[in-house]
Amino acid sequence: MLYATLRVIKFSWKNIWRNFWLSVITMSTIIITLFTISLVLALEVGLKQIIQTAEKHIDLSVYFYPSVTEAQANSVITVIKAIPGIQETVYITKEQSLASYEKRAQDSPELLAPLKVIGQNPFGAAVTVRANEPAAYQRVIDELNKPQYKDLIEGQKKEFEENRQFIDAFTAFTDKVRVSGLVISAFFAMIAALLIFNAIRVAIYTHREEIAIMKLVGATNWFVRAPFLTETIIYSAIAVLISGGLFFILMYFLQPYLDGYFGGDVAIYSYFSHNALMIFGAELLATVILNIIAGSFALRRYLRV
Amino acid sequence: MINLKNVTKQYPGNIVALRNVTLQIAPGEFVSVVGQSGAGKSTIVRLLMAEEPASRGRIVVGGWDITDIRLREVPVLRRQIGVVFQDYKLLPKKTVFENVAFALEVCGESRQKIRTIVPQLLKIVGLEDRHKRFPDQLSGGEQQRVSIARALVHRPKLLLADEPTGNLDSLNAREIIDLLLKINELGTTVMLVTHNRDIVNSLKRRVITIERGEIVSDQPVGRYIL
Repeated sequence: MLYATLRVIKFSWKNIWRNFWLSVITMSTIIITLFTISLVLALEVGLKQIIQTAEKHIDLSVYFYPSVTEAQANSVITVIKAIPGIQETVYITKEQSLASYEKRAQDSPELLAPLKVIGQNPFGAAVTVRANEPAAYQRVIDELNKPQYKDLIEGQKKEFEENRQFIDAFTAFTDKVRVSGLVISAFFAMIAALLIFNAIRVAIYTHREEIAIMKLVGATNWFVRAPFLTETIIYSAIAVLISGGLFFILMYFLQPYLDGYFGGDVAIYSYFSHNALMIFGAELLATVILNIIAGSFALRRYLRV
Repeated sequence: MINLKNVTKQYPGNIVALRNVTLQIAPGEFVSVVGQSGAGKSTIVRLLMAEEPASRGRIVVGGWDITDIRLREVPVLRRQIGVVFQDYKLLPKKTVFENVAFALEVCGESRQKIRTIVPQLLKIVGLEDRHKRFPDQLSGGEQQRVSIARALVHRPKLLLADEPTGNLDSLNAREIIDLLLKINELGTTVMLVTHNRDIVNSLKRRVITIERGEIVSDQPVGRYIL
């Protein structure tokens, strides 16, 4: 069995070398396919990381009228906390609001002057809400828009709305990128499968004499077929290695630019480094399966054992 | 060794290659099967190799009923039968040694066994000093000897020789026949398919004559009668 296996591998290599340029073209197409898939994946990972970063910066500030007591504010906070998806609430007292304003305006006397004129703290308390999911913010807004809160809440910071629109648009864009990428990848995969089919067909043709003799002297059907299927596995393995290598080189040089632009929020190189085995293992498995299927069709069609 | 019972081979288009053929060949026999082109001689070889199935009848080789042989059993049968053809079927880019060794390689034999068996076979066929040559550096007779050596790698009990002298001059043809006789003397059953009158008449062995797919003569010590 060991000898047979080693000879199957040897015959597969011979198949590849004997039709060298056909092998190069076939492998190049598989490499392009895998590279495209990796790029789509990288794009998706990058976009997700951007969205996650954007989501981290989202919060909702709810401002109470200055006349609202702490007890009234706490009752509203209790209601907010009970809304599904709420991660945390931070209560800011009137005094903290004033201190915060004074700190921000310390270099601008014209902003501090009105406070002196008023002679008392004009700020109300506030609460900052953070949620696990963007939809939870809308639930908070819907709740606070109810009439019973009309005399308590002065307003909500509109930044949330802008962030939400950005995230929604970006998520939709990510979905489109994913679909487009998958369509392109599927197209390349189809071409790769056809080329594998053709490579095996040509290999069968160029080895027709050897195949005839193999059958004549009693080589098993497995032994006659195995070199061709092994050839497809070798194509897959080499293609995954080359496309993976090229991809890592690209990401290595691209990452500093991403860091410069997104401030370290998009770490694609790091993501692929940590998940290399799983990602490229999955690519290898999928490629091997696809190529074995294409090769088997060619064998069934052109090789009679 | 070979038992054909009422074997008929019919091809699409109502072409009958063999019609109700019955014959027995005992172990150790040397039998010539003669007939004109298209008589059905090579069809018998193809049926015995399980290259194609019989339309009707039963085929037994070495006690094994191969009439309904399964695809995965065919290699097992082929290792028990050596076959040589008129066109030698050698690989032009392999040396004499490699051509013979190839038959063992593809059947998973160890390198050590190959190194032992191949020189022995080349000695039997008289090519031990030509093992590094390529087929195009050999005469037709020598190429056929390589083909015979390859057919013997699995030490078959039966050797089918389908027109082995068809491409050879009379001197080389004689040498090949002498080699087949030598192999037969070593205990291998030989079925020689030919339409070479001189060879058949000189052998003075059993001759089966086929005409239009039917056995018309089976003589224990026969001559070419067509």
